[in-house]
Amino acid sequence: MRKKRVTIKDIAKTLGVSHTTVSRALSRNKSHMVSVETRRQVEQVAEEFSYRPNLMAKGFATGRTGTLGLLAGESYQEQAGTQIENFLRAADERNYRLLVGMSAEWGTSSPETGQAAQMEQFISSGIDGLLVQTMGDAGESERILAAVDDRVPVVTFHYPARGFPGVVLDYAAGFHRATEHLIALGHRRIGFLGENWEGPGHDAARGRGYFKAMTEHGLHPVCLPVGRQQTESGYRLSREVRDRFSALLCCSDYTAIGVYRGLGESGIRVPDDVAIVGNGDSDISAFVTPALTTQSTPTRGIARAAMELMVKILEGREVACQIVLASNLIVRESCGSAAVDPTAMPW
Amino acid sequence: MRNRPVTIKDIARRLGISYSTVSRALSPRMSHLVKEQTRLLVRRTAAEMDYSPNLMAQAFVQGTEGVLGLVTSRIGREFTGRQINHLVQAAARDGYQVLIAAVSSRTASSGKIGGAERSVRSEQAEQAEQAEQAEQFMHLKARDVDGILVQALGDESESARIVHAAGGQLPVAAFGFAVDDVSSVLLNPAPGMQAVTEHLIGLGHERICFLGEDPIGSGGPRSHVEGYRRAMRRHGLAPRIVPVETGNARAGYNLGRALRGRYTALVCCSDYTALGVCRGLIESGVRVPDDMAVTGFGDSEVSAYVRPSLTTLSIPFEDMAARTIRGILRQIHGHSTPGRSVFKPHLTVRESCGADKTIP
Repeated sequence: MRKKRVTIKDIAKTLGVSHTTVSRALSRNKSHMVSVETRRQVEQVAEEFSYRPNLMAKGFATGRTGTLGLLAGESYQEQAGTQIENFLRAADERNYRLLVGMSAEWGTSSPETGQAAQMEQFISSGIDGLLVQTMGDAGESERILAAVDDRVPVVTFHYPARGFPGVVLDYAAGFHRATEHLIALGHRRIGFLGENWEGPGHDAARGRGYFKAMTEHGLHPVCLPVGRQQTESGYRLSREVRDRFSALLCCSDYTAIGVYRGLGESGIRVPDDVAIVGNGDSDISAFVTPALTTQSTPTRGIARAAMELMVKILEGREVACQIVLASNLIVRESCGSAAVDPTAMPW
Repeated sequence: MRNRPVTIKDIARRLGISYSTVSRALSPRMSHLVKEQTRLLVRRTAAEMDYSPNLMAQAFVQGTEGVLGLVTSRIGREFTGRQINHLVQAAARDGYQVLIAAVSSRTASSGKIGGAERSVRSEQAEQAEQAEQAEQFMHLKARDVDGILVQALGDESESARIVHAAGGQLPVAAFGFAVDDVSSVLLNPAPGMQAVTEHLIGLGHERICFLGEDPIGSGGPRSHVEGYRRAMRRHGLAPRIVPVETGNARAGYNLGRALRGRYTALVCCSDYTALGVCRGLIESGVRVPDDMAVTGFGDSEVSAYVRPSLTTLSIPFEDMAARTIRGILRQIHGHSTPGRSVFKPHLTVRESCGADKTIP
């Protein structure tokens, strides 16, 4: 059961002081108008009750602000920007404002610490619910639980977090399908550029899909580990490929573009000598040469599904725990398939 | 039986009190906010349950200096997205959270999500965007932020609008355009566009076409097209301008298919446009850079790696972000700030201009 939101009135009643006194004591600008002792008492009770300010006049009666918080990943890769835009639209369609926070490297602390801090900031500033782009690490569910403390509903997206409703992007299924596609085209020596499937890291699901498809067909899976600089990694790794592989499956389109260059500089042709499949369907993936076969991320579907869940929760309805969405395989020139998708090409 | 570490939540559950009370009671910095009786109870229980501090939770309570608001209407766009990311990182380095109030592109523009910058738009759409900017500003102000960063739209009434919204007390900084009476950080693209055009002229090109659009009006002194024009005029060459939606690879592609033999070099206002143009040219049998030189703007993540690699203007996002954050922090701490910081892009020469080839 969610706790009822504590109000200034509750605190005033507990202490036997006026609403105005409590309001001033908690305000940044007016607290000097209240005696030090009273201020201390108010703060203490506020802490014990987990009081958080309620800001929007419109929502006063119902305790609602009409605002949701969105915790997104870094936005320099335009997929994240597109994802945010889709959330803005989906929220707008439901008459919700959205405040956006982005993960940052907090000094010497980790992204995990930053995530917790951002959640606290959102909730303190007054929101009705939190949409969280999960990072997929092992301690995440606990961390969200601790930071939110049941104060507002949470809906996650991309990676599942135990105990929270959310939208899951099935990376494993997508990479399994992409691998099957290459196998169906006749490839046997298929390499994977990305995070190792045995790793604890966030993106190991991609490799797992590849691994499963390879082993199911009795083929030998090989992982070429990609670092943070994906394009650079793709370039560097592909320079050493030579004729080890007839196809390369990449964790991202950025990696694939790096691979294009690395292979090209070694005189290896795509797709004639090596087939390439990327992931993410970036804005320029159709425009490189050869046009990149890739997996699209259903950013619009994710945003809408997540908003659906959030609205249902706020209306007090039952929700399914996880909605699983799949990516689409966009067949272009780089995999060497004869069946190119004409709607996905520039022409 | 439990086989995982004891958490604050476990202690709270055991005692039937809130998570935050337990957290404060165990924190050296905040424990004075908790009644002594409660504090002692919590500590004793923690010891009994063999609790050891979650360093992460402590870090986040202690680490925050303050909060900045950020108003934007273009978070999904190529350049804005990168700029905002750098602003968030720069703020975090100083211990500041950033709350972003963003408007969906439905209000802002009819352009493609995730790539297209503004092109010619209706006055109505512009006014709506300006009104939204003010509203988002007030929304953040109501949340008690320490200062607000505004992505400037560049219209004439912007200064009055922002100054009025700030109300005199609240620290404000603008990025993207110069806003009178508001501390501003911006990029002047003109010198960069002049430099890349001069570079092409130096390689022997004369029929050089500019592909792009000046965001506000047509060609003020600090605009892409003005830089190009300056270079062309200096060498007695006729400027040729073809309008295209910036940042849209598809628009560039369509143009690339159509342009063919009229020019020998194309100067684009975005790398994405340039990449689209290259594809269009290649499909029409025009080789880059052998038959046509192409340059871009922005130095995207992939520009050094595509083939041919893209000659472009690189934008000092990190420096601009650091300056913006420094500017607003100075205001927050009560110091006066310089009014305006103007940055320039710098030319990065790669393969697509054919620098190692000359025109016959």
